[in-house]
Amino acid sequence: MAWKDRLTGRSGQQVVTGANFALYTLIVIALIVLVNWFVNNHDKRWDMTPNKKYSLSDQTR
Amino acid sequence: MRNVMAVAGKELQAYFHSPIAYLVMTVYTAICGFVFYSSTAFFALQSLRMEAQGGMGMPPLSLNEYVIRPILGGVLTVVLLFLIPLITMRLYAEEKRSGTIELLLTSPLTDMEIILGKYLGAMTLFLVLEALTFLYFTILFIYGNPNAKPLIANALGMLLYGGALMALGMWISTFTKNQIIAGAVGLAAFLLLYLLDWVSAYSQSTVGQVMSYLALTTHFENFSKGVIQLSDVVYYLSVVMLGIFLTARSVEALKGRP
Repeated sequence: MAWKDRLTGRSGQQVVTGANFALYTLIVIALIVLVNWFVNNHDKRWDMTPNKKYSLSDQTR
Repeated sequence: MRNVMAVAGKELQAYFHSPIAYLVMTVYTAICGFVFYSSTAFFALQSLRMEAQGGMGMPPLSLNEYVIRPILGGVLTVVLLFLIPLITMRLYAEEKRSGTIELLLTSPLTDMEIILGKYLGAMTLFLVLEALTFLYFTILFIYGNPNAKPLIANALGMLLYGGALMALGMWISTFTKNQIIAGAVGLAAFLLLYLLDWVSAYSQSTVGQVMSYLALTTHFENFSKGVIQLSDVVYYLSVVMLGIFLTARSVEALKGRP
């Protein structure tokens, strides 16, 4: 046990668990960011308004 | 699934056996009613003016545009920022205060079952609020002719918006055993997330764009217009998943150091 850990009263096991915990959380957040980034680059929209007011016509596109 | 339903039912009972559900519903319908009356009255006046000027060759004003959209996008999203913390603040804070959290942490149900149950229970109360909102909109169908199809986008957007706030609020309530603190922190966080879009007014940098993307408002705009955009749906679902995931982490941490 390192002196620093002894001061804070943590065992090595606890430090490893804590690191795992943080890593897991970070990975999930990174995944969510990745999915959002991907969808943002491949966006789709469905215009529900009667005369497609908020969509560009094919001609304009 | 049965376990989730059992927890959800218990949560829902807790809401309806305390004044909270009735308070939230009353406040919400009162505000909703006032806003609804004001915007329809304004709409009637505007249509009358247009009629008096001979229409000027313009198509008649749309109820979706002039009544439903400002109500949903402009007012109800803000009202929900204040009301949803009232719903979520008790979810975990109450268990921690009364000491029943120990029972939950050691119960044979998994953490995820309990979290999903609590979330579903709170969402059911939100669904009641959403139903009340759309009850007002059905009045428009009796006296006017709004388009029904954009309402699908409106309903989906409101559900996703509420779901995202609920998940975040639940996460915040795991931090403290004081319900007031859970509610206040929730409200502050929601307001900040709501206002984050202001960045886009003065910054076009990447950081500015990311912050604007994180804002709750940016993604509601399309739904209130009657447009479903995939990235908006994915944004709200991400917030829901993140909230539930972080709640699970937080509950697990409670187990680690009792």
